[in-house]
Amino acid sequence: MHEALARANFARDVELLSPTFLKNRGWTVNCVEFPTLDVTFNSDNPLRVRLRCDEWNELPPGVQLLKSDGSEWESGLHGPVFHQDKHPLTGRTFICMVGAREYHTHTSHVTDQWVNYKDKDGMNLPGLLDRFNRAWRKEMGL
Amino acid sequence: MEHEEGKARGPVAVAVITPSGIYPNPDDYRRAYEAETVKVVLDAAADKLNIKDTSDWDAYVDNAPIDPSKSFLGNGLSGIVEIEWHKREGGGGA
Repeated sequence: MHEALARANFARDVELLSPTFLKNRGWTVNCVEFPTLDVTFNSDNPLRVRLRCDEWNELPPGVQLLKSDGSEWESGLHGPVFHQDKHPLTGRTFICMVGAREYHTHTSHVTDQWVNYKDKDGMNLPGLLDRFNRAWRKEMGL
Repeated sequence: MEHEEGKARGPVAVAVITPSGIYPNPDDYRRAYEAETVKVVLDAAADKLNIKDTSDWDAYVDNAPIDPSKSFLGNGLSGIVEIEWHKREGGGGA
């Protein structure tokens, strides 16, 4: 995919992360500079996600799970969406959900292809963040 | 409940905040009524924001799920209401 197109798609989506939207969701944007989108879902148990959006949206973003201070999660994740065990390709904890690159490249899900989802309503970058945030709240009982 | 469902006529100021945009716009609220079904407002938002398929979308207010088939009052909502609306998260399994 041409980088200029990925960059344009990225810019189109991050423009939707308006102050009103972020206030409603209770999120903080730490970094938005192509290809990185780094957001904290604020709560009593905050989650920070750093999305690598190269190839967006031919490929879903790679998602790094972080604590609010930017450190890696060493413990406290228990699945089924937020995995404590390491992804076979990245060697990191990962989100096991449609829309995270690590899901679609995991040996258990390689047949569930992103191309079948990428043009659906609600599968842009704010929409993926919404789904990650809601899954986090559900899994952590927030 | 102080008012009976369908009889309350108090105004509600509502915004629908989606990953595709904000209805009616980022700086304003739409006027609705407590007896009005939430789905009516969500449908208007989908139309305005050009969202075609919301069959698997969920709505929340203040982090609590609401039932769009019920009225604002039926969901315990009044005054200023900001609805978080987006596609359902789905599960994991790897």
